[in-house]
Amino acid sequence: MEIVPLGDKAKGFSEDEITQLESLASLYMQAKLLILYSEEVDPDFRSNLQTIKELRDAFDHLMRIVIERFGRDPSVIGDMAGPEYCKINLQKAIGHVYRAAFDALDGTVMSLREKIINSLDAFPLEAVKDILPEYWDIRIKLEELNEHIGEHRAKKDIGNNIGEVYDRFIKDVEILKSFHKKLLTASPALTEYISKQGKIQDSSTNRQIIVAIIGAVVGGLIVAAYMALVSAH
Amino acid sequence: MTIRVSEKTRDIVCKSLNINCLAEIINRSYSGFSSTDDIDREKTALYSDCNRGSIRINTGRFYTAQEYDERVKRVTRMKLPY
Repeated sequence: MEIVPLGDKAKGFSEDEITQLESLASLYMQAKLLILYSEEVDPDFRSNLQTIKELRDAFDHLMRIVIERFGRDPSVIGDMAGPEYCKINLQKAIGHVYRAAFDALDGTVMSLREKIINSLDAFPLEAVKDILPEYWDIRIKLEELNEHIGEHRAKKDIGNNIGEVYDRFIKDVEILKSFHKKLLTASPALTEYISKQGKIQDSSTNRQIIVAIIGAVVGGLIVAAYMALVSAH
Repeated sequence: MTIRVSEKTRDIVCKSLNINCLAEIINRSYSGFSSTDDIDREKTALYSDCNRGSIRINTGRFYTAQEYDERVKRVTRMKLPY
């Protein structure tokens, strides 16, 4: 199979196909960004092979188009060759890139969830309540996103509202990212809160000890006085 | 640079893939990853010295399909402080 220069066969792409290719390129750039970010935010800096597989499949569909348009032997594609073949494969490629992006977003949500929980576990809830009051809203968002993990990968074909879902997902991940950042920068304030609470607790405990000692001494004196009175009579 | 597969190799590959000619693979999908048909981490490590690809994959820093499923289960079950 050989690829021939465009001039030899005068084959190119229609306006619609170019528009779709542009959408694919733009989507791919966003997906790549999200994939790189999900690898960086992962607690073990791991890649997800499912994402790599989606990109491999997207590339496969793209190459089918290239072969159909520029391959020397058109019989290779068979009866399916033509604009419809190109359209179907472009849609399939876009679908795979979307799924790669959703996989990356799922991975990011899981990594941020894990990191947020682990960071919060180090502090008492009262401290979080005082220093990071927005946690309660983030908690709702985290639980919502948790319910949808893996939902997009389960869908074989992309729906019409996929762009909208994708944008909303990115917006939600942005909220988690900024909260996680805030949580990291709030660590000194949270530690200081615990230390202050500890001092208050300490002084309260000391006061209780002093009161107990005074109580014991006064009680002892009363008993001693009573015993003295009883023995005097 | 063109990579050309010899006639003999072509025949062997076509026979093992159960296809009549190389062109038939164009519309064939790659195999997926699942918990039953997963990436072999040991095999990846075995060939890491001669692989020129991803450092993450060579050093085993990836989630196989099974590991990914387990991670989803583990992380989604983690309780948020309340």
